[in-house]
Amino acid sequence: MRWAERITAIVLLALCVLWIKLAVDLPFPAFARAAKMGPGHYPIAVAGLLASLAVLLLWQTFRCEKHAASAEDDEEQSRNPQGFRHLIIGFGFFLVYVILVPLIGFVLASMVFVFCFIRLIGQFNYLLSGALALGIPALLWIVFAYLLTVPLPKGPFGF
Amino acid sequence: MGMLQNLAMGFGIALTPLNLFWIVLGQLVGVSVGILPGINASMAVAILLPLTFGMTPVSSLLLLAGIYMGTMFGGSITSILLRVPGTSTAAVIALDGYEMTRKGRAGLALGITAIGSWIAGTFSVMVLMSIGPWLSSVALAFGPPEYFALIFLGLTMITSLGSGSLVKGLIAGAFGLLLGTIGMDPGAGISRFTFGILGLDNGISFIAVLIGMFAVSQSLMNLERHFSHLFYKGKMTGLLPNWNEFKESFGSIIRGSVLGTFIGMLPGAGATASAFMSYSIEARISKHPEQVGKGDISCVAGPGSADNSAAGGALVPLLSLGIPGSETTAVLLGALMIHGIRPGPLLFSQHTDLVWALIASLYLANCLGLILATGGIKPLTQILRLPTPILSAFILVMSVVGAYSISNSMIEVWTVVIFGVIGYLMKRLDIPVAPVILALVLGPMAEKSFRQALFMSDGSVIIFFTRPITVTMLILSFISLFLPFILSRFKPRVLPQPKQADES
Repeated sequence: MRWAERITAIVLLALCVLWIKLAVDLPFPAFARAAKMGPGHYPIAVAGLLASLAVLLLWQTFRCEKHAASAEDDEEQSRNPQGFRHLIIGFGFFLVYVILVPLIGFVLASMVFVFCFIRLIGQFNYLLSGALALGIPALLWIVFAYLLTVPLPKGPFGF
Repeated sequence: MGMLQNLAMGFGIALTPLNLFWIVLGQLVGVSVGILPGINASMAVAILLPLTFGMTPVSSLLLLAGIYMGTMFGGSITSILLRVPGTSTAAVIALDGYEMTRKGRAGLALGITAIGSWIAGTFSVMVLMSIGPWLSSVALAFGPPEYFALIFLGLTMITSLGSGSLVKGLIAGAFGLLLGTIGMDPGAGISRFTFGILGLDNGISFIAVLIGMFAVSQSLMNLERHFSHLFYKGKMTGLLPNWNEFKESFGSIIRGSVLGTFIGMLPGAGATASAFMSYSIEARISKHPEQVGKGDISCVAGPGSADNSAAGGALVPLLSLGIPGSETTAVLLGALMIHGIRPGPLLFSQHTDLVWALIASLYLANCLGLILATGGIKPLTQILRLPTPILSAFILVMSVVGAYSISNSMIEVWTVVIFGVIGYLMKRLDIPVAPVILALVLGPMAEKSFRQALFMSDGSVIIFFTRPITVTMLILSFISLFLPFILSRFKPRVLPQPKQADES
């Protein structure tokens, strides 16, 4: 986990630098000058605090190198390879699903997603996967589109 | 109106058929969520929040409060029967609760937890009823400097108590504050950090961040884990304790109730800390020290009561000061804000009906919990048969449709995806997600109060050090940073681990 913490600290530092740069460029309207605090001051203070904490985290990863290394070993040992595979496939399906929603509509995209997800990750039979792929989107369509009148994205078939 | 009249009015609202339906539904969902490992109250409330958009504020709050209270008891069921804590608050109950199950006393362990939860829940609601209006009348005299100090206190307590690592808790809080700066600045109305995205002018969507960080990230975590399907196959008799058993546990229930309520009122301390503290106290003063960890009824009754009363206690700062005391109350704060209701000192005077209906619903939820516990525990545990992939697929689709319905736009859906990934990475790195949510809510409020205070003092920060309440709260803020070290002394060294399916 040590390397992951270091990357996190560096990413946070970069984010803080970006935030401070954008905050410094913000205008300071005359009417707000009475408080001696403009729109950029608070974000600069928060980004400064986060940057300091990120540096502290980075320093901790070097200071506790020995302890972190053993924790990393434990982490590696407890990692389930099949679980990681499921995570990558599941998240991949989810990402494709979100891309498909505005293109083919909520109902159709959800049917495809639920079927693939349950069939490939849950390894359930085609019948159950198909039934759930019809049932879950239909239930949510009734609740959101019909009862709550949310205009859910529609596909080429009108649903 | 007097307190009793207000309470009668609250019951009048809560007992209408529709509102009663929402309370029962909330309780059922809450208990089910509590039973299922990998789903907690915040996640359930987050994904169900979009469903409440079309409801009245009262109905919406009653449903969500029902879920909140139901989860507390639901978590203890699987802790006791299977040694699988459904929620973190119930982890400590598994220590002696599961030992009682092994000795054939599962019914008694569940019965005493249900009775304890009922007494504790009722006690905490009575405290809420008595202290809430008084606290809000005191807070009415607060100016911007006091409000800033109060929010600052809430932030330090939450960030310092959320995680094993103080630095990581503070990073999460500071990250939430940073996210809170996105959108229109509260003083001059200038757009900040929107990167040209129009949808970000009103700030980053709190609900979308919530759904992403709690629902999507947890679903991703669940995909990685292997959840064995555990079922309780033993008999369940003798749910009601006899007089001697009740007498033996009554003191623990009262101690747990009082401790939980007051610990729950501290922002950030929450139900888990109070359950651990209650266990620690019961273990130390037990009349049968040799039985501790081997099925001591006091060590089940105390923590079982403490977590429930803490849930009620956490509502005190939320309703009277507008400061959420836990991650779930932060979600409830979001629910209120969606309906245009700003919790705080004015809530008790401006939305009397809503507050007292909520208080009445908590009484009803506690009674319903007791009925459910004595009549429906075994059928409810069957929900564990629901396979994780089906649950995950449902939650992910629900997250997408829920996020879309916030503003009928895909921006919110993408916010959910991004924060789902961020939440997952944070959980992998042991960085708590709750402080992000709380800081996202409290950050803009803190900035607004701070700037208003500076307007009052012509830009001088001395104003924060000349007012007694402000100084006291700022001192408490710094003390709160050291609280995790004090509370960690009360945590038992051995925590229950989930058992394998074949061992059940």
